[in-house]
Amino acid sequence: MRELGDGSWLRMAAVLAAALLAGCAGAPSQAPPQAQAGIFYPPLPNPPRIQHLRTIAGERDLKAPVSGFIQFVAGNDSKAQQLKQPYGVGMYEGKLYVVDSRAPGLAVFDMARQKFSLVTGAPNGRMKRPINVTIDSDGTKYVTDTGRDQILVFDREDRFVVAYGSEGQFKPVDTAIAGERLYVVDIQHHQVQVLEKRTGRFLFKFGTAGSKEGELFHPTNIAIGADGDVYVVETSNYRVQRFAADGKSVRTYGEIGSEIGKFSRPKGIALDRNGNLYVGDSAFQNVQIFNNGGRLLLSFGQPGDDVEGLNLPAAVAIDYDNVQYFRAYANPRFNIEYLIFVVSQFGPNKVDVFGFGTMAGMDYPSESGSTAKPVAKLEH
Amino acid sequence: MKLNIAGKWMLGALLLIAARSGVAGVLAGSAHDFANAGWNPGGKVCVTCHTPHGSDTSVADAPLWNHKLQTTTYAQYSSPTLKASVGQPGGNSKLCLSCHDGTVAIDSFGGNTGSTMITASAYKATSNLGSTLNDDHPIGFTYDTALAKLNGSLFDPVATAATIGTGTTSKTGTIASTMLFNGKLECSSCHDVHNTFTVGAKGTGMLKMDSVGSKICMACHNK
Repeated sequence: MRELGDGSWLRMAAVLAAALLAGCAGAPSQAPPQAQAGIFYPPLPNPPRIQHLRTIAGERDLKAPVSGFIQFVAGNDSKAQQLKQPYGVGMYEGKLYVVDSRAPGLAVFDMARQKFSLVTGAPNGRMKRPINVTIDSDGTKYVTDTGRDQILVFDREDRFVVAYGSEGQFKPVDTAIAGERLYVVDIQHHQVQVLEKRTGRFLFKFGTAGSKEGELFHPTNIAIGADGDVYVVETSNYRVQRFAADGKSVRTYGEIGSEIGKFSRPKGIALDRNGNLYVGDSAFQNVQIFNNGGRLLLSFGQPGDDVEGLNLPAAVAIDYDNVQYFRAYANPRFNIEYLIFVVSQFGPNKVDVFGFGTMAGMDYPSESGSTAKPVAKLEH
Repeated sequence: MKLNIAGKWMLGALLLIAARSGVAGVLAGSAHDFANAGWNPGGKVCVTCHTPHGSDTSVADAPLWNHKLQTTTYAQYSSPTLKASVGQPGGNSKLCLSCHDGTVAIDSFGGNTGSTMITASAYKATSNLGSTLNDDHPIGFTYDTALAKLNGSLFDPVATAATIGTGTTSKTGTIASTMLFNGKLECSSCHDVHNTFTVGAKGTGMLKMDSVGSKICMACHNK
C-alpha cells in the first residue's frame, strides 16, 4: 500500500463513504435570501421608508453559498478578492461598480452573471488612488483619481479611453454629469471646474477658498438635482452648498454640530427624484435625508460591524434602474422604488444596499408642507 | 472619554502657544493648525475634531418621517468594541481616518504611490515587521504583555519605560501609559495630533518619538 503522504487519500475515502451512505449528493441548496423580517428605518411599527437589503464585501458575496460538506472536500476559497478600502459606487445595467482606493481599481460586480472582476486600468489608465465613479447614461465612466490628479474615462465595456487633467490643474474627488458638462470637484483649489465631458476641455470654474456663501473649503462630493442645480458637500465647512448650473450660489444646508440635522464629517451625497438630499456623515456613521427646503426627514444607518452597520461611510448613490437585482432581499410586502448604496471605507461590510419604498397596508403621513414644527416624543 | 485626555493635552498646548511656527510641542504652526486657513467657523481651530454640541438640545426640528426619536445627538466615531474584529480601527483612529482618507488629507506615508494606508490586513501576531516598513503598520489591536510574549520580539508595554516629546514638553512613563489607548495601539500611539509631545519639525508627521534611527519603532520592537 502506498505511503499516505498527505491527508488527501483519507479525505477521498471519507467522501466515498459519505457518498455511499448519503446516496446521490444533489447540488447544494442556496439559502433563500432573508426576506421574512427585515431591518427597517424607521423601525416597525412606524411606517418604514427604507429597508436594508444586503451587504457586499467582495467576490465571496457573489458566489452561491456552498455547504460545509463541499467546502471540506474542495477546500476553502481564500483567494477571493475582497474590497480593501472602497469609496465611490455606481450601478449600470446590472453591474455594480465600486471604486477601491487601495486595490487600486474599479471593482465590478456583475449581478446578472454573478461574476467579479477588477479593472485596474493598466497600462495607460492604471489607477493610483481612485476615489469616485460617475456613470453616464451611455455607460461611459468617469473615475476620479487623487493619486494621478486626473479623471480617467472608461467606456461602456470598461476599457480605458482617455485621462483628463493636466499637471496642477486639479485634485478631483468627485464628478457629476449634466448634459454635455462634467462638473469636477477640485479639493486642492477649493473649487468646482466644469469641463466638456466628451473632450475634457475646460469651460469655467466657480468657488474660492473660504467659508462665506459662494466659497468652498475641502469640497468632496457632488450631485446634480433634477432642476440642474449643483449640490456640493464641503467636508471642512460642514455643510452642503447649492449652486445654479452656472456656478452662482443659491443657498447652503447644515452646519457643524453633534445634534441631529447637523454635520460633523459630511462626505457622500445623492439626490432622489423628489429633490431630497441624502448626505452621509463619516463621524455619525449614518445618512441623513433632508427635503429640498432643508428640513430633516429621516436618518438611517448606524455604526457597527453588523450586516447593516456603517464604518466611516464615504459615497452615497441612488439608483432607480437596477432594483430587480436586489428585490429578492426585500420583505415581500415592502415595495421598493429605488436603491440607496452606502459605501464604508473600513469594517467587514463594505457596501450596504438599502431599498427605499413603502410597506403595503400601512398609512404614510403626508410630506412636509406645514410650517409648524412638531415637538418630538423622546423614547426612553 | 477621549475628550478628557484631549482636554488635558489641549490645555497644555494652549498654555504653550508661542509665536514660532512648526515647532514640536506647540499646536500653532503645526500641520494640524487650521487657524490660518481662514475658513468656517471663523478660524476656530478645534472644531475640526471636537465637534461642538449646541446648548439647545430640544428637538424642535424633529425629523418628519420619524417623530419618535431615540436621541437628540449622534454618537461620533463609535465602534462596537465587543464585536470589532482584530485590526479594525477603534474610535480614536476613526477620527483620524475620517479626514486622512485620501481626499481631505493624505492617507499614504513613506512618499510612495497610492494608498499605503494603515489597516491590519497583514496583521499576524507572530510576524516581524521585516524590511517592508513602507507597508502597513497595523492598528486597532490590543498590545499587552500576552501579545509581547506571543510575538517574541516586542517589549512588554506595561514594564518598559518610554519618553514622548522633547525638551520641556516631554512625558515619561511606560509604553502603555504614554502610547496606548485602553491597551490598544491606534494612530495617536505614534502621532500626537495636538503636536504637544512631539519630536521634529513641521512635516515630519507629529511623531511622539524621533524617527531618526527608527527610535520610535524600537520603542516597542526589540530589534
